[in-house]
Amino acid sequence: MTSSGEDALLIKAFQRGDKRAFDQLVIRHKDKIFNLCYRFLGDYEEANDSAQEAFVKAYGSLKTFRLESAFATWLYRIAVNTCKNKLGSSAYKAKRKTVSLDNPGNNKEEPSPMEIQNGSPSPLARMEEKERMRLVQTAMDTLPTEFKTVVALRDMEGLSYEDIAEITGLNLGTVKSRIARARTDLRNKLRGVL
Amino acid sequence: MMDCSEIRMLLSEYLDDALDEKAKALAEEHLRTCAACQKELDSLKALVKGIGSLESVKAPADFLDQLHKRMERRSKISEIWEWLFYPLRVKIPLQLAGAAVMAFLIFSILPMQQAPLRLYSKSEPEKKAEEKTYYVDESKEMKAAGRSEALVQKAATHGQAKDKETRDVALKLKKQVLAKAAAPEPSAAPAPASPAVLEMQRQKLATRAPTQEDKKEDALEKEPESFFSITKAIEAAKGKLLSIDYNQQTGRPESIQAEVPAGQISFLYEKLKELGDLQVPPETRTEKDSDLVHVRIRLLGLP
Repeated sequence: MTSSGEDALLIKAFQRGDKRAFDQLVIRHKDKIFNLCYRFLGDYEEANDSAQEAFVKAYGSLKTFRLESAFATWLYRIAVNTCKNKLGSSAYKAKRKTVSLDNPGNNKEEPSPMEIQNGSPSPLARMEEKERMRLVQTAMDTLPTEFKTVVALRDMEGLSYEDIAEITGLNLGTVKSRIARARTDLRNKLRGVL
Repeated sequence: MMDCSEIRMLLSEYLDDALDEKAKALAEEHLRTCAACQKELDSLKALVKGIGSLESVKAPADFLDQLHKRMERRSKISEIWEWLFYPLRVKIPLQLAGAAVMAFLIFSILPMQQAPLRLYSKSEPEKKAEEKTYYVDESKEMKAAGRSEALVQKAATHGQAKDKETRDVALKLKKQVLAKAAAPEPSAAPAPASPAVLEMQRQKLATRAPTQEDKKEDALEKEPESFFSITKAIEAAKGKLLSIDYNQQTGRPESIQAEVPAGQISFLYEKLKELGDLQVPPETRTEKDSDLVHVRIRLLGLP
């Protein structure tokens, strides 16, 4: 069964009254949603808050979800809107600060989600790779929200132009032009790094 | 054949294999011969690979527990909200009843508060004018006295022509009219009052000091003929005497107020001119002939 087919079964179960089905949906999608929020906000705690908020909203609307679009796309749309709202909030703007990729989380017992596990035997190579990723993330953070959204969905989540158009509510031509513009901007900022 | 700038605008879509066949063929043809654009494409490929290689950030291990706690908090808030507004069949009638009570109280209290405000809004000259104005009672005393100015009494409220535009005219009575007033004809004397009334008046005078009321009545006694003439003029113009105003210090009459049909204003002026010099403001009448207009006749030259 496809991933979206499994989602559909869980959604139907939830709509019949099985609350545990929603937990399964959360487990299936939490990391993708969390990662997207993190790329958007550049802050682990804020990403956690936004990802949870996105699931709370999804829970409230899932009873009326009609399965006409993929659940993942619908969930991404909720997450993107939640992050946009947070980015626009004065509380977030006041708190905004430079993000450290080295220690984004507070859970010391768990391995750091940002731990680079590329199998490189050289500590120096690992350090260089970390630094390169930090610079990429920093460059991403400087993009305007409308460009950050599309490039994150395309180049990090690997979504199609059509899905991105559905998630963002933009037309296809605008999605293409924004992705091209964001990539050009990033390439100019990361010359010599990538 | 496309130039470099046009090709570079297509490179992002070319990279994602999102170009149509024709555009893709043109781009490939250009890239085969243009090293600079090929380098640009390679640079973009490296960027996309670099972004894609960013390590995924995973949700915390207790993400689901945190989510449950958050939903539980929200659920409690929802329960309180529902408790406040549900069941609707009970809450809505209660709220409607509350709203009705509030509306009743508002509409009951508001007029009570507006009344004193209206009183206080009156200007000081207006209040003074009210205090010193004596209105004619057209009841039995008038008939008994046989003269319209025979009885004046203090009234608490103003006449019905108050809101209308007032014609303010000034009348300087002729000497002969004043002379008549100083020596009234026997026929113009007030009708004899009954013995009981006279006794009551005598007792009143005996038991109290002279007041403003007495002064006014004295003044009226001294100028009966002039008032009689003015009253006649008003009556001839189908008008109605409303009041006689007195100076509070001297107790002398200052003006007479009347209501006259608008169509009779000119006639009234003619009649008043027979009694003396009349100063009349320019007439800009907007009322119909049958409308009653307010006329104030200020008396000049009284001794």
